[in-house]
Amino acid sequence: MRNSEKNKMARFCDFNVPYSENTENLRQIVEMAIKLGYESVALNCTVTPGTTKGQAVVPPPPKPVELSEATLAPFMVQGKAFQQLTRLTAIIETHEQKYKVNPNNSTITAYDILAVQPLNLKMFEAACKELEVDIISLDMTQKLPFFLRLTPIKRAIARGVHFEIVYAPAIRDSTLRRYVISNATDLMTFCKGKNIVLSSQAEKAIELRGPHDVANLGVLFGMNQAQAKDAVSINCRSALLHAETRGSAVGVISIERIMKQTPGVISVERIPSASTDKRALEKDSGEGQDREDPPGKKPKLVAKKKIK
Amino acid sequence: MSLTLKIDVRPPRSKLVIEKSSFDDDKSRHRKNVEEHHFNHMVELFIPGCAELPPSVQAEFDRCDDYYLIKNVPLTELINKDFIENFVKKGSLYMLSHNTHIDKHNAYAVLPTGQLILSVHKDTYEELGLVGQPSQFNRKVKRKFVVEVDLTQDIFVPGKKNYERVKQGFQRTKLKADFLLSWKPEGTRQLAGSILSHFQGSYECERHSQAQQTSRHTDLLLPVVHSTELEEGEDGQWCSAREWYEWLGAVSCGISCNEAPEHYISRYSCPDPNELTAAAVRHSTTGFIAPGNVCTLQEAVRSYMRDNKSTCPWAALTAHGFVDSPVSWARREHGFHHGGENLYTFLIFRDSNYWLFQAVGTNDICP
Repeated sequence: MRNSEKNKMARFCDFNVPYSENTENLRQIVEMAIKLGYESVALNCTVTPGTTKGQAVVPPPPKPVELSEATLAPFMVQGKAFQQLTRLTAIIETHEQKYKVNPNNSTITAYDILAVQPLNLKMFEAACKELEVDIISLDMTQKLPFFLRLTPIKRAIARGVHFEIVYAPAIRDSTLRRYVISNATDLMTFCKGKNIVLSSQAEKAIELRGPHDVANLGVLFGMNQAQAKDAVSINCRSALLHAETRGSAVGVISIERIMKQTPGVISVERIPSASTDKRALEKDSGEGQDREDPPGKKPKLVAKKKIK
Repeated sequence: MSLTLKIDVRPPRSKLVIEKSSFDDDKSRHRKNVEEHHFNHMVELFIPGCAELPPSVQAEFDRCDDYYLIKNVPLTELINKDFIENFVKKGSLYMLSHNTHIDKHNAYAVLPTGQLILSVHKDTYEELGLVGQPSQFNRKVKRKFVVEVDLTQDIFVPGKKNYERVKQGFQRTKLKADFLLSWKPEGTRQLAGSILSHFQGSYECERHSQAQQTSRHTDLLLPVVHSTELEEGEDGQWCSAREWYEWLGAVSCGISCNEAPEHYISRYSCPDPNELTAAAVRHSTTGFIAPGNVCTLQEAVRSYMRDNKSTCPWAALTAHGFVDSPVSWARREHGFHHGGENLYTFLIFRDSNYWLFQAVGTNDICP
């Protein structure tokens, strides 16, 4: 599994650094993020699929920003690595656009994280209930075009999808700040502070804030102290893990008994997505029993099963 | 259905415990308190009415032991039989993992009592296969676990079940970290440096000495305190202990207390009543300081205070713990929320009375 060793810890993440061709500006933002104590950033590409003659224009994932050794020095000392991820945010308004965001598209799977920004209630409900995405981002800088409802949000939380609140617009302008806080508290009444990711969407390095400051802002949005801190650390990690399970296509489980003399001991392993899309279930005698997995079923990272 | 949201705007909780006692009291906890606070990052001494640090106290500061930084030590090395027999059991060993943030990474510590404390994430804990307790601070969502391994147990030897289990766990997870280390051997026969030769062959070792810093104040306003009264005097004759502690914090951070209350940068002013002192000295030493050094330092300050020549009304000795240490006092768990402070201050009066302030952050058990 990619980055599995590094992902074990609850590091501070910023999952929304807008990608631009201006590499100098981007480098400044990333360097500032390192300075502030983030250990992981995601470069974000925002697209509106299906805008040019029915073709989905999804650019290939951006290359990580090249950083000088002096910037990475604090990580070198600690024997850790700075993580740069890629994220795709698709703005969806129609059903047609919705179907463009399917995980079978190889360009989309090349991204580490997949996010959608629904523009109307139908798309919001679809994103919460059925779309295979990791993050649902809402444009909070204006009055939301629809009323949030409890049922889809509950469903999204149950599926492990995260909601994103971006804070940089709130720094830029006082009107935007009012909208962001009001919309965020609105969202918080439904999700009770769970499954929230706080990220920056900073267009300039100066708009970034340190993780503890962002967590404090989260308190203002209506989360409690612990939840606010989780929103910049643990929740980002779970969003990333959710992305990894999604990336592995249909969940594949192989159950193997490692020691035949001790019944009940089972090791569950995950097979890389490319190798097979079948579920292999080996029994005591070693007989393989193959089963086709229903396509489109929700993947599972770890399955625990007890064979008697 | 009406949904109203309450925003909790209270700051993160923190605790301050104040007690007053006398050094002459048989039941006084001052020694125990110092000894149980195993990992000290900084010790600072503030003496008002004194332009230079007394030579006897300065000598104690200079006598602080050096400490070592050993890089990339696998945890299996800590349960090595030779290591336990030669160092853990024959002296006070203080080890603390370096550059590990306790809220983000796994953190480890070896206490002088012989316990190896691991504060690990859920993933590591499950992989480790050792029995531990879920962390006190996030009981609802079990995220961190604390595992204790008693290295000094008689049955903790190779071949025994428990030992092998711990060893297998460490080998499987390949846990390693940089460690700060300080060792005080029992008796005088062995040299403290011999622990370095144990690690030097296989790991990168660095020897560091404590960094000292002195700052002097002139014309400083001192709050008036009364050694037997923690609360504020009824007719405002002296300040309360809390006001005094806040003032000490401001002085030690270098915040000016003489500004007018409407000043732009700092509105803090010295609590009333106060008196002017011509000079004051603040001396600090930073590094990895063993409690033994703090004890001797405390004795030196006490003997200086008993000395009739001294003119200072009191002296304040503060020891800051490491913010990312897995324990604060003794084996009490310590964590990091927005700050991981764990510190104590002795306010030593001339009449051998003292006040002890113990301050901890949000994720801490009350000392």
